[in-house]
Amino acid sequence: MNALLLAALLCSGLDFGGTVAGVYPVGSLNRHHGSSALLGAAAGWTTGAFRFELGYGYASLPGRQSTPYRLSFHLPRAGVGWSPVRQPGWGLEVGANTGYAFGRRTFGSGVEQGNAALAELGLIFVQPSGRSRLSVGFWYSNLIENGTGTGVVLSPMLSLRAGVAYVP
Amino acid sequence: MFRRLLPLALLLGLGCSGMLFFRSGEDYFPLVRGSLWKFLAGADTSYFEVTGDSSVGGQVCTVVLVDYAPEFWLKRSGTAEIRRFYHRTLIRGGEEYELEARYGLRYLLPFVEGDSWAETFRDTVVVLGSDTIHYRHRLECRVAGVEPVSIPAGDFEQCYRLEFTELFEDEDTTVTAFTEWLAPGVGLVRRVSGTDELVLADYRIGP
Repeated sequence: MNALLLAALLCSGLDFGGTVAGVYPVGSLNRHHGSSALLGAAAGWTTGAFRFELGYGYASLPGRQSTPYRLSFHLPRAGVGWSPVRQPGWGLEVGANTGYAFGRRTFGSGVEQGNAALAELGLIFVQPSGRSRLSVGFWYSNLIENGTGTGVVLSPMLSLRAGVAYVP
Repeated sequence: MFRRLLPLALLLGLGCSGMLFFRSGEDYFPLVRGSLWKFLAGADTSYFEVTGDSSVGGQVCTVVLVDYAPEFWLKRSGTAEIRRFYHRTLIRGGEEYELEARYGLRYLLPFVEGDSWAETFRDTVVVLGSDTIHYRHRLECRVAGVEPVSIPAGDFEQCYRLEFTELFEDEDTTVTAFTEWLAPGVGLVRRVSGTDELVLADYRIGP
């Protein structure tokens, strides 16, 4: 009985769905890379003004030239959001994520792989409606690497991220 | 919140390897006007300096003085290629014949380990009215690795090692193999060709 109650409580704030985004490399990454779409999925749990999310995204940035160069990365992430503004039918959320980037560069016969930590900050417009939850957010992401001699290096990106989730 | 997450991300970052995204954003061949590189070649000193733009071979190019002798380079935004102007002539019977006058592919950006490129130029030149010379110039390059380089100018991380083979064929055939190391934000830091070695001693990027 208690387990059922707990399950019901947990499921009450649960949602899961897909995300799509436009990713724009800024800073140093902007030198050789153009923008790209990011596709992903996310599952969230809302309690009060807070929302916890697990998500995943994949993007493949093209080179700035007409060559077969690509910089692709998988981005698993976990994050938390807080809603300072909650109105009937809409709300604003401030989000912060952390995660990992698994990257791969390919150009001709060349392949390189590497990882980086991920830190993100976002401002999201949310519109819950019935069993769906729509969101559109502006995110500032940083890929963080730490190398010998180079120290901590940040590679920033901006993204406009939209999501639709099913609320059971 | 960001301050709380950043240390966590940094901790995760400590376990990272590869510096892939760092290399992805770096300029490994900065041709910025006013830049100066001082190299040591044994007991000799060699200076490379970007002096400005010019028009050579019908193209607007960047002039690099190598020990006061001009080299002409093409590096355009939006293209992956960096090209150098090759001008080779042959003197026969007191007359000069042009074998090659064109921008040849030198680097293909961005560098990715394992990538390679090659370009061949061929021409047929008639000299002294009857002799035919079949001219061929081929440059091959392979991005052989990423490694640190320690030289008099300092310690450079995340350098690409490029292995070149260059062939010139006219009446004779000359094949030269050389290796270059290019550092992020600096460019050429070391070149080895046979027993000759050129190492960067000092540099300045930009005016």
